[in-house]
Amino acid sequence: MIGEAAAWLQATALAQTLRASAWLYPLVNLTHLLGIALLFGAIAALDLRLLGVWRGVPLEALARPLVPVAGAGLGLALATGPLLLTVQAVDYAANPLLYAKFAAIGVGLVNIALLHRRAAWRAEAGGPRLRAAGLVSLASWLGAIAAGRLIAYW
Amino acid sequence: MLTCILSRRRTLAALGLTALLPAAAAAHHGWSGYGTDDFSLTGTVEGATLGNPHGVVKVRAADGVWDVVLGPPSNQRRAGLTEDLVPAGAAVTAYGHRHLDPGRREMKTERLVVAGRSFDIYPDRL
Repeated sequence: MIGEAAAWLQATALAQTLRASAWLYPLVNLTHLLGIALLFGAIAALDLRLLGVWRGVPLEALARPLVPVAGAGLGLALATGPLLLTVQAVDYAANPLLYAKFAAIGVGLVNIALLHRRAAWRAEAGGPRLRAAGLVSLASWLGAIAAGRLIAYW
Repeated sequence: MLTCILSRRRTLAALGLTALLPAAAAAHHGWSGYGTDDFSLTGTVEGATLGNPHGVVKVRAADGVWDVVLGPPSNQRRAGLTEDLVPAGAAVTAYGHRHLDPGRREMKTERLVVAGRSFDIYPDRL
């Protein structure tokens, strides 16, 4: 079932174009990497603050620049990831690390949704709820990046 | 002052964790997943894709179908290898290194010989 979908995806004109292109694939790859860099760079700083580092800096002041930067990075990564997937969909679909990566991204996104559900989180000083959110965030995005990188080495 | 040092330590500890995560693993990228002994495989082409992220020729040998991994597209281009030069059914011999996992029918190729014609995918490694 997944194998058939992957075979179909890999045979699409889009996948063929990406496979054959000298510069399009590297460009998409680069954009994916840039997205990851923006996402993790911004979110790691925010997560460390949630975990209690830099307590003197108000969360609101950090969140204002870091949340949109992380969001932009996430957007870039989510927009380009599926394109990279199409190129070798059959191989990737048989790679357990792909599913580990998806699971980690899922946890990261649910964590974001739970944190942002309460609009007041930025006004809080600290506490177990924020610490838990920071810890889960760091672990999930690190996990997603590690699993994603290791897909190529499986 | 003390809290400053403590929090700096905690930051370093958290960042240190990131270095531990990507443990060793191996395959397509680079040569770390492949053995150091020279290896060659002879068979017939089942199919070939030479594009991104790297070329792969499916080769039917005596013990089954192998993944004969080539390089990124630029390597194939430099070697003068195009997909029409590796048609299904062609006799092929690949020289390179076998995957470290002996249960896996996969090798990475330095030189590919198709129907008597030689293509050096990684000429600097030969």
